[in-house]
Amino acid sequence: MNEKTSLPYFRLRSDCFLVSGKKGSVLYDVTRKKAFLLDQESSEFLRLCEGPQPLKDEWRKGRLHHFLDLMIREGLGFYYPHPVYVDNFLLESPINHFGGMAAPPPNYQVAAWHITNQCDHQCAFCPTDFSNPLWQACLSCVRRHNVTEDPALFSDPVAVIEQASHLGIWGLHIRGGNPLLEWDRLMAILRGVARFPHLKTTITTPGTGISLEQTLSLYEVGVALNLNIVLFEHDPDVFETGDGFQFKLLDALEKKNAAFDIAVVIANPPLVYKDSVSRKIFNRWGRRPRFVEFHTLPEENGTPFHFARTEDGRKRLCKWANATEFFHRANNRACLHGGFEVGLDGTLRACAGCHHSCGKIANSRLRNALKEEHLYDLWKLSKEKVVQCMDCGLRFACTDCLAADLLGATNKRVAAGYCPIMDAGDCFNNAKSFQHDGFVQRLSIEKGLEDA
Amino acid sequence: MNRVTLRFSSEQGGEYLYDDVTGCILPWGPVEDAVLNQELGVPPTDPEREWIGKLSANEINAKTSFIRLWRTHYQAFARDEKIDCLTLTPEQLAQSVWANSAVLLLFLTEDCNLNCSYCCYSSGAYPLHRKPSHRAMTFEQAIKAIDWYVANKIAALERDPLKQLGLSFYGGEPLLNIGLIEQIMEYLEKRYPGLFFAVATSNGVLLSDKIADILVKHNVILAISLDGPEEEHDRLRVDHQGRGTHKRLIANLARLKNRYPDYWAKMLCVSVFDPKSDLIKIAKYFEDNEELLPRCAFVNQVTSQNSTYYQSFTEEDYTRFRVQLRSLRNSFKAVSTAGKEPSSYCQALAGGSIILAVLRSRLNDRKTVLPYTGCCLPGYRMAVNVDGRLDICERVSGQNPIGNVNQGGLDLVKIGRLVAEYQRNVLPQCSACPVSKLCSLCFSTAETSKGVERRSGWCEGTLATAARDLSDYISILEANGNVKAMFERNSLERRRAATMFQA
Repeated sequence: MNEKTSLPYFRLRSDCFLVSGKKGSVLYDVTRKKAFLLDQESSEFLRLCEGPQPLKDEWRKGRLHHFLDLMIREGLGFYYPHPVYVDNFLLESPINHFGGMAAPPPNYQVAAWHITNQCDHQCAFCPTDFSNPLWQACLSCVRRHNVTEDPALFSDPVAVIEQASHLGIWGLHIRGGNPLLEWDRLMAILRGVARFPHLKTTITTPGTGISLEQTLSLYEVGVALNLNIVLFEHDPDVFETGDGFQFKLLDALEKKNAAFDIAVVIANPPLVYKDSVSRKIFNRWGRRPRFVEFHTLPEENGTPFHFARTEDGRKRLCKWANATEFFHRANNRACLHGGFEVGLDGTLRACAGCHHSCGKIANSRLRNALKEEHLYDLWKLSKEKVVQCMDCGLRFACTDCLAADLLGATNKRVAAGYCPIMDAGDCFNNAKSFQHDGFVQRLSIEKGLEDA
Repeated sequence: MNRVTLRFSSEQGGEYLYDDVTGCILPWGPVEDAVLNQELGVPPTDPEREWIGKLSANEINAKTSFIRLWRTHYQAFARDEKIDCLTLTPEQLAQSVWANSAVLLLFLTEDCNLNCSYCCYSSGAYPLHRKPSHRAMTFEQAIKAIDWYVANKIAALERDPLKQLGLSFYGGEPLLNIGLIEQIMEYLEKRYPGLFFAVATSNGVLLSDKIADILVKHNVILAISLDGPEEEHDRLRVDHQGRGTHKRLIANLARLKNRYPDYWAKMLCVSVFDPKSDLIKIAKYFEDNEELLPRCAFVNQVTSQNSTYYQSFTEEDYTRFRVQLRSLRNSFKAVSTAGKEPSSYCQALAGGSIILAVLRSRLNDRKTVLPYTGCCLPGYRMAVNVDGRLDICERVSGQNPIGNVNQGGLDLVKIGRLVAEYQRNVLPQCSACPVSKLCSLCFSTAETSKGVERRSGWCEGTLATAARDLSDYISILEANGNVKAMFERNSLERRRAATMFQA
């Protein structure tokens, strides 16, 4: 501790949260958007410093003194003359997270509608049932077997769109299979959407199966349309020079200055592959692709699922854009919150990659299906509630969408099937193993502040 | 820019700052204060300079950068002098009202079987309120109001599949019109199954087995007015012959508990006191009889708003009353600090105002039309009188109706005028207030015979109350931080009940 001060208590800043992991902790500086990995010794010491007793004399010397001084210099905490209570920083009153009569309506954002199982591709890894889900399946096409179509849903698509619009959603995501192959249905839906000018529509499709001209005519219907073209794994050079149908379509979309995105479905991708593909797609079509990742690993201990891991088993950590996003992640399952998918048979799911049925639409009444609490339980399934994730200090920087899905479906308990950032329960010692964009640092009594 | 912060201390001596922009409570001392003042262009005082001299440059830099960080990211600690009130067109007003209104209150009758000494209708001490009468709401009027309400809520209901609306039966004494309650509930079950959650506030004296059967059958939850042990209750709550009502009420409650224990568990008590009440005795009564009485959800002082009721009390009454209040508050703090649940009466009385500190608004809870005080937009909680006249809520005098169900519903021009009057007469100084997020002033408390205005002494009282509540809140947590979860849970539970029942 600095010689000048005699203040005997230390407290973390109210917008800094020390989040425990199995070994060590992570200190989140919410406002400055930084995460500090603390080893066990450092996190235990910090907790002691925050206790009701004054700092001990031996803590005011040597390496402990330097550590606290570092905390002060980094603005993560302060000394106080009294054992003050730090009331944690919140952006909203606790009343807003409480149900009850005055609770605001669910914050619906995007509805996905799976309108067909037809597809002109036979992809080996197409997750035709839920035994083989993808990471970010919501960006890809997904065929489903053994689904009986509910004709009532499609007899009056405008009614479904109208109900979705009343919920306050701003985005409609039309999915398949390949929705272009169900042309009449697709057009009926788009004409319905045109009646609700605030709705933005995305169609996820490989873009094949119909002519270029017909695909381009979708932009003339009068809706705010974005095509999400799903490409499949190729040699990276192919993205640069390829002249197959999908590439011609992308060339035409770019020439037309149409709104479109590119999703690339890849299996077991090394990082270098993704970087290369990303660069080549950017050079040719002026946008970065998003990756839908499919991974196969050998079975272990009879556990059937080993997939959806990336870069040697790890996913990239993700910084929060602002305090609002941080708290949103802390209180919800961020990637599901605000969305739902309507299946061909009227089954309601939280998203295309989710196993769980959250109800079923009967007689085209979307609102009745949305009365089921299960959907909202999934929205609120923060990583605090997921076995394994709850022991990981990095849980508020992890954005993996599948980790909490697998055992939850089979064991009726919510548990992560794997750790997307490779045993991050011991994040301090594994810091070198996971990817981040420089917002994570290691902080320890032993070594002070280091880049992770 | 006005600095909008309040410094306060815990009982243990910890120093804090409440920031009205973010709604946050921060550990705070003279150094932080000096740094903040400097940031806001105010030079530090001599004692502050002395404090600054005691700290290292490292610490001063850290505190400065923290304050700048919060100023930059959250615009903390100071506010523009200009009041930023949004003005809505009648259409926008309607949209806001119907999107947010969650409870419909029906005055089923203007009659009452009792003649309570503090009643705003019958005591004669509240000249702005209506007088008791035998007028009662008809079934036709009730369903007209309900159908009108639901028809206007359609868009909001489409937006929120989980929504359940509140329906509150009021009076007078609503059980005098139990036939209407039964008719309404049968109608709702047929026409709007599952849409409404119904409650009634009653003195409980008429709670016969037959009436209980109806309430239980239709799941109409009761809040019973009970002011304490017999001598306390009967001092205030008497019938038209001047007879006490405690015995009859307690007998009814005992029978109800015996016949319908599950229903009984959902019931609540509402308790009222004045400066002559023996609060210690009342608290003990509720504590000793927690098994026999419904949970006490609200304890309210008889209102002094536009009333002559308080002229009858002596300085001695007030002194004794203040001592008792302080004592109960201390008891609440001691029990809470020990991590135990205070009795429901003690929680509602002593913990009641601390709720404001626990559930205080934060940075993102900004309102737009009436950005300061605790005021909601007229119509969010509308009350229908027996003749279809609409009031802002059940607490107002009835002098400023906001429409009539039989004459086109909400009078949006009138609502707009009331809002403008509130903005003009009440809000102008609020942007400089350091506790605007802790203020409970609203139309019911700002209403006078001359219109809506800021009550004299209100701001000073609010400031003092806020400082005391914040201090108590933080003193408890400083002593035992683990009780925060219990605090929040209890506060939320009481808030849930408050959205439904008369408080």
